[in-house]
Amino acid sequence: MPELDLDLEGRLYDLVPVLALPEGDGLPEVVAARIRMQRVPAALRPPRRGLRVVAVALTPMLAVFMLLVASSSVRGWLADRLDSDDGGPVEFAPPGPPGFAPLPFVTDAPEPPEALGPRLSVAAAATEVGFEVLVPTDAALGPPAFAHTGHELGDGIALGWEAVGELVSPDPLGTGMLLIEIPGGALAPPFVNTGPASVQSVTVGDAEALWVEGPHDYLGPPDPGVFVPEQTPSTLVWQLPGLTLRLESWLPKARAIAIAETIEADPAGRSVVL
Amino acid sequence: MDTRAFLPGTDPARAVYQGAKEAGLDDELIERAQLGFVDAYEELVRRHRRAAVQVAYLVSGSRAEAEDIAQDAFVRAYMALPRFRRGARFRPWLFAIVANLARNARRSAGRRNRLVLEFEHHPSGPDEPGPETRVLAGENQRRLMAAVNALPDGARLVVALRYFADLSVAEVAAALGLRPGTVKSRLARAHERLRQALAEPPEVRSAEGASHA
Repeated sequence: MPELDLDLEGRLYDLVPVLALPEGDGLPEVVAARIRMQRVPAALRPPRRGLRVVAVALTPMLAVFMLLVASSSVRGWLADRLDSDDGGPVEFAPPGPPGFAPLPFVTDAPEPPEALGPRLSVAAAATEVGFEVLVPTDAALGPPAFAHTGHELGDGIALGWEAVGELVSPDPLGTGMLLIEIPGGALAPPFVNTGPASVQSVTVGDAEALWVEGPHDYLGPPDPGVFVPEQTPSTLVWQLPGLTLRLESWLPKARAIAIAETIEADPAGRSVVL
Repeated sequence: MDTRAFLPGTDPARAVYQGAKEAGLDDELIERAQLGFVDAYEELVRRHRRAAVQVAYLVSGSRAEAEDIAQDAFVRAYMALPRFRRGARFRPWLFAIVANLARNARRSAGRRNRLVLEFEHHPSGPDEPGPETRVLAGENQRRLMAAVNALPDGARLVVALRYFADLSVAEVAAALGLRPGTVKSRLARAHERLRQALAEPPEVRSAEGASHA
């Protein structure tokens, strides 16, 4: 680097004292206090082996309980119980398609969060989420054009493609397809059927998947007890190790599955990364 | 890596060693924080608070909101720690979160204005040897500041993050969602503009600088 640059850099650094930029002196204590007051992710709690064994044992029981919640008699009993416990009024969405349990949602939930947040560059969003982001390698599709990491996505990311070519959208923003990646998660359908949507069990490679065809309400984010309805197009939901993926588009089922199958986990449990 | 380490009179090898040592300390603290030790994360916040709040200020353009933005970013980063890749650098990841929140804050406030850097202290070092030298040093700093403020928005932000918040090129790139090569080229163009501005006669530049200050 030329010496003049070094001199200029030195002079720029010398401006720092007179700029008196903020120092954030009180931040460590405030941040620590906020963290101690908040619900901490399970993975950040000190490990307790005994509880882990109990959790493993309880998981099948919880699954059975969730299925029971689907029945109208149990829903009624649960609604009565929650109403009598000073909880918020609980309502149940219209019945879903056979085999899938609609989840309860709270009608006086806090204000819906900002949808998906602003459009970001894919690289910036991938850095922000802090996990390895997977992308389809479908040649016709090409790379994602933008990404979101808004509140609604929790710790996840949404990769976006513009409505070009085979990707169409009534969305005024021109989003043709979204691939949403959420760490962890479950394959259980977090939605209720509010329209002509149909739900089918399909496969993506060897993995079980769900195909929801037609507009439907997606209920998110997965904050405890709070589900915010949001209209989404046809959706393919499947899982890879450590990740739940949702492909939202107006593509036909076969094409959506073909795109999803280009995202493959490698033996190390990861996949194509940005 | 801090370019300041390569200014005359410093030892690059020592700077590299120091950088690795710092990253190692971060790794240790992150590992402990991932096990649930909040005090370890508090120490991590202490180590990076200054840069984080300065990124928040420079990107949002709001000194008043900078601490709140940095605070939110640190809490969000903590909640996302279980998925933080082992061995990844914490600072670029943190700064990307800070910058994203800062951009959101600027949009929410409807601000489309440009960041204008201003002197908070009198622009002459107290350790200058005499009154005339102090005046000259102050005038030079005013001219440089005016030249920085006259840079295009993108270039000014890159310069501010690089030199005033003391971020590495990689960290600036992560914060702004740019490739490191783009940051370097913007810095190079900014250097050229600054050199040209400083080469102009002082009378002309000081008049322009007064309008920005």
